[in-house]
Amino acid sequence: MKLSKNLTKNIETLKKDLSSFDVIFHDIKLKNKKGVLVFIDSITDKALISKTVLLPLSNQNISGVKGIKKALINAETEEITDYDLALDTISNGNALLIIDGLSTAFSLGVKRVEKRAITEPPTSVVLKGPREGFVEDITCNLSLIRRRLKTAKLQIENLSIGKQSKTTVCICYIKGIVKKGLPEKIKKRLKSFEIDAILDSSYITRLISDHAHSLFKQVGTTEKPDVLVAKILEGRLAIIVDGSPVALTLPYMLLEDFQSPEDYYTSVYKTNFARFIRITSVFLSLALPSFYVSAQLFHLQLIPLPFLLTIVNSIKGIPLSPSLEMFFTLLIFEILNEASLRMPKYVGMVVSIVGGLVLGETAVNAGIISAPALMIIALSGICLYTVPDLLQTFSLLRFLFLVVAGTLGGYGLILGLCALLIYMVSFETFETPLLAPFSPLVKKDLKDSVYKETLFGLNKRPITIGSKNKTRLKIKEKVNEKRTNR
Amino acid sequence: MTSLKTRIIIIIVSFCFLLFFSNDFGIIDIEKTAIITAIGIDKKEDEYEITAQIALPEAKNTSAKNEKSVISSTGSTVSSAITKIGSISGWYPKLSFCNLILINQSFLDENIINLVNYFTKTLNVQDSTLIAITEDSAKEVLKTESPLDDLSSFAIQKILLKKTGLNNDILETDIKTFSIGYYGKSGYSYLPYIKTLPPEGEESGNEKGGNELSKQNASSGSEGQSQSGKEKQNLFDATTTLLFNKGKVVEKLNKEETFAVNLMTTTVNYSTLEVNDCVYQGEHFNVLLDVLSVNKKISLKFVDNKPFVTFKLDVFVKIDDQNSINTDLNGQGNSFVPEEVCKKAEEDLKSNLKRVVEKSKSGVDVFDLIKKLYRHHYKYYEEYKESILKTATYDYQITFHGQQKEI
Amino acid sequence: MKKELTVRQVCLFFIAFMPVTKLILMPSVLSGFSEQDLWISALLTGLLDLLTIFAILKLYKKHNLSFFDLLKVHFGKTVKNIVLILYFFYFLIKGFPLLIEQKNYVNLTLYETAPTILAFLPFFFVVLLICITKVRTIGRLSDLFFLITVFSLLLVFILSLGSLDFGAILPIGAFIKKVPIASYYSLGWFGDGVYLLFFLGSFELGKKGIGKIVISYLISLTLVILFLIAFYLAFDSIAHRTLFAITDISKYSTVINNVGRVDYISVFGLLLVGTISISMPVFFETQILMEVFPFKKRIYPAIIATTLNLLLISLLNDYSVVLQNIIHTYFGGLFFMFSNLIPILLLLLRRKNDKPKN
Repeated sequence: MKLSKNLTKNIETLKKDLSSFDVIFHDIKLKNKKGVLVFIDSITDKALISKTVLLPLSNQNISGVKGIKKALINAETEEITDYDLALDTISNGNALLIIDGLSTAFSLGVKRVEKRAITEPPTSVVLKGPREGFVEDITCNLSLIRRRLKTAKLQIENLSIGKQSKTTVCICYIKGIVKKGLPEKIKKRLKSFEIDAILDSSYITRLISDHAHSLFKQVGTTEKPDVLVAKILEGRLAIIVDGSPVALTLPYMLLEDFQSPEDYYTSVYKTNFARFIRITSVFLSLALPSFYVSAQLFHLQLIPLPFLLTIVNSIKGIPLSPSLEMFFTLLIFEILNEASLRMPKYVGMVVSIVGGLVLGETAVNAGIISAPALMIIALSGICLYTVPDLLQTFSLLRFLFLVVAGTLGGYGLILGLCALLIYMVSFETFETPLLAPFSPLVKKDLKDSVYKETLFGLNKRPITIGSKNKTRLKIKEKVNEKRTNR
Repeated sequence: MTSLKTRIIIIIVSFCFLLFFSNDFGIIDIEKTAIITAIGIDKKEDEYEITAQIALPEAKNTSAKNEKSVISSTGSTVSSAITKIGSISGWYPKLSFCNLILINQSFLDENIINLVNYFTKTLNVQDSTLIAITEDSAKEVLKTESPLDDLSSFAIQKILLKKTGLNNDILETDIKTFSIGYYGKSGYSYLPYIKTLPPEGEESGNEKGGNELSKQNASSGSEGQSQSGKEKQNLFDATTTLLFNKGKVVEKLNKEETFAVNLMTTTVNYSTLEVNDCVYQGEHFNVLLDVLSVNKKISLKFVDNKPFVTFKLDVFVKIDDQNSINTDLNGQGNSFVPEEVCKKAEEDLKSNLKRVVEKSKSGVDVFDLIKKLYRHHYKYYEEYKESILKTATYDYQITFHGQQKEI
Repeated sequence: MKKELTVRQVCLFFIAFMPVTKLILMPSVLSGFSEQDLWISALLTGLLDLLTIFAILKLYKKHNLSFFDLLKVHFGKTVKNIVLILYFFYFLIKGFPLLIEQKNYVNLTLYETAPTILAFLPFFFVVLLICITKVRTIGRLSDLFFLITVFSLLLVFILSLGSLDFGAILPIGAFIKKVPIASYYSLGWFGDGVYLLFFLGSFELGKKGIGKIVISYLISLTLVILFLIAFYLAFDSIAHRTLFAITDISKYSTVINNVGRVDYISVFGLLLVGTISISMPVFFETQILMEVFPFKKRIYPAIIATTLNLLLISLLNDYSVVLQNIIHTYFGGLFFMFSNLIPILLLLLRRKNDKPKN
């Protein structure tokens, strides 16, 4: 529908569609014409309206579309003839200037956004390296990226998704570096559905994923602009959603979650040791409870005799079977974990103390659970926090493995692991294997996997991602003869 | 098709959960298991009497002290008797932790492999389980209280395992070594012979002399030291070794001979050697030597198609203690070893070795000569496999080295 | 079009999956015949496989066709289907003793106090999962699992080092007359070259492809032979009485006295790899069913092949050991024909440029 030349008609229709109390219809008197400025009080900057719209219009003799446009000193002035677009403009927080006798209205960028300060994201705290984190405001997030990538090749494509929310979703990548065909594929997918609202980037994750029921992540996430930029520079594509501090990166590989931002800011020795610790911890976290149960139920011979006697000592009088004891201890751990996340911080502390110390100690003393079981669950729980991005998936897998161990024993665990590996090696997102560069083996990409090379060693972009431009570090001039590590 | 896959997965997961929560599908878990640490085999009329020593940990106490329970049962075969232990005790007899098998000497007139074979065949017993013959009934030995450990089987293991102690006068054997020997080319194997030593104050009766200088090892020394206020506790002696040919006892080695074999065939660490009646500057005295290191070699050569065996042994020693009043000897410190002492030690060791060689001629391949013949002189194997022990010429090149010069 | 496998994956397939099936019962059986010369028997059979692999690779270079297309082009669809069905039964017979061996090993060494059926039944679920997957997944699993095989075997070697009697392997050649008999018995465990026949068409051979694959097979054969030697050095005269070599060989290490059965890390590692390895005959049975019958989805032939194997194992459970013996004693000729002879004879086929006959 087009806007009418008749101001009254336009205003009547708008009043019908925008019947909220915070919608302001402000009358303006020009030289020989009437006009109305329509905006939503709660999301517009009234000072900006006065400065860039009302003041210029009141001081000059203005007529005609060109004259009005010339008079307005707002940087985001746009002519609008479509009624629906006019409605969207107002809903977005802009002001709409409608002049009697003109079928063209003016959209004026006077949006006011409430935003929180840029802080360090709580999920990826670093000792060394940038501490900035994304916020909910997309313009702010884009500015954080732009500040780090001052190149004209940085492409930011804007999409509006959500029938009701009209959420701004931006696709960022560097032309010539991004995996060939990926932006088009993502845009196609993003346009392929119609949804009411996008309230967080996780909605996009679900919508563009290949496998809806998968237990594993299919899209990488980060709250840190430095990490996002590093990933874009590797040939990935980023999706930033207005209202969400979590940016998405594609394609995703499991290995990413083991790479901490700090790995690239500290010495390689420390990094390699930390990665070894992370991988071992995740494995231990998954294997410890299940192995302990299967050894107790099926394979006593695997436990050294002195340790076995200690176990037998501690489990005497425990009313539950080894598997159920471990299951319920793990369940209590998960409950405490969930509760401490949801509760206010000061109560959370209390929950940790009550849960960790009082409950555990009392349960052991009362003979409900044994001390080794408690210790194993505690260790397993802590281990998983070394790679927080895998927390959701692996805490579920831990339960699954525990059930398998309690039912089928050690061979069951092997079969379970085998099934999991078969699933994982055949799993792909956007034609990128989940377990790359280990399976399929990409030798050159192993330089930043379990083992991390020095910066000079990482001179090529990962092959798995499939960037067109392969080199990211070139030695222009040999200035240090002693340097050997290339 | 996804739905079919999903259905299959749901059925499997549900089944797992059902088993998991019911936890009652015939498994025998840790609480229904008797952890057997040792097995004793005795003869009771025509049947086997099996005694199992079971570790019973104290509830709510993770200290090192463990109680034991000794249960016996009889059966026409070893396996049936072991199974009966399960029905008597109500626990499943778990043999994986059985580290010791004691066989009463009453079985020595039979082929001992008949007993060992059960343990080699079953996968539930580790091949590394130690075996020994007992003078007293195996049941009594397992019931014995020992100051070395709460469990007598652990005490015996401490004595038998060379890795853990200073026991160079004991030849340890496990199921695997015994079987390899039995089924090997020579059919030779050996087992230590365990005697229970009476508590202090009672008649000793063992063949051990009362040499005051002797740095007594765990097997035979400090009897009943920690007995005060406790019930009587015994120690064990395993320095006698029984030599078997095709599973039958042929010869017996005493402590000194066992030590000589150990020195010649195994790695000896932290050992001591008694040399009695040494003469230095006209004075007779006894010396205890510390063995620092040993270079040894048993070589088999054929000279003019005749087997020739050389025992070459270089022992590096220092004096640990001596009862001489000679000031030269006392003033030199322990590193000085007079040549006379070395010569006496060489003579003693040589005579011990010679005795062992004489005993080996009755068919026990103590020094693996038949094995050497087969592996390195295969062309002579058929000709000499039966006679090599008797027909070989033996040469002994034994030298003790110590600091000879006086400072 | 991008092929499902790379030459590297084919190479790693041999290193990862070829040795594991030969480490459980085969050492004991071979030492029963040729005692300390058991490794020579294995070497002979291994070299026969190597020759087969070389022939298959030459065949691929000559025709550049998959095995199915090769049969179709030269003999027509009917003959192709008959040959494939014969191969289906061959895989069924080849897989049976391997499954039984794994089942007995798992039950006897890991499940002393648990119901037998419980331990092995879920294995077939994983077999089904493997059969549903594509050749590409097998390639990727090879990339991952070769590390497990190599690590596990290294751990076994290191742990067993202290208890080896290095002279036990002497004199070499004392049982040379019995070596061919032992080799004949080992045919059931070997014959891995035939897998390559079914991988034809799934990978691009490239310039040095033949050399790389042959070398990789030699590496895996070396691992097997080293294990056989270590096994005999550890058990000497009781080697033929030691049924499950892999569990026993490294348990005498002093490390085990201190920290428990760390050697089970390698046992579990090899069991993990072994799960894929002994599923391979069932995987190829599925491939054959898919090729011969007009199934639209892979899950149907996968279910048929898995169920057939499960039924065989369940119904013949009571006679399994006897059957296992019969297969190794009397079916050596069959194994030789299907694993070695047919692939080598295929090399005689002349090159045709025609497309497959319909």
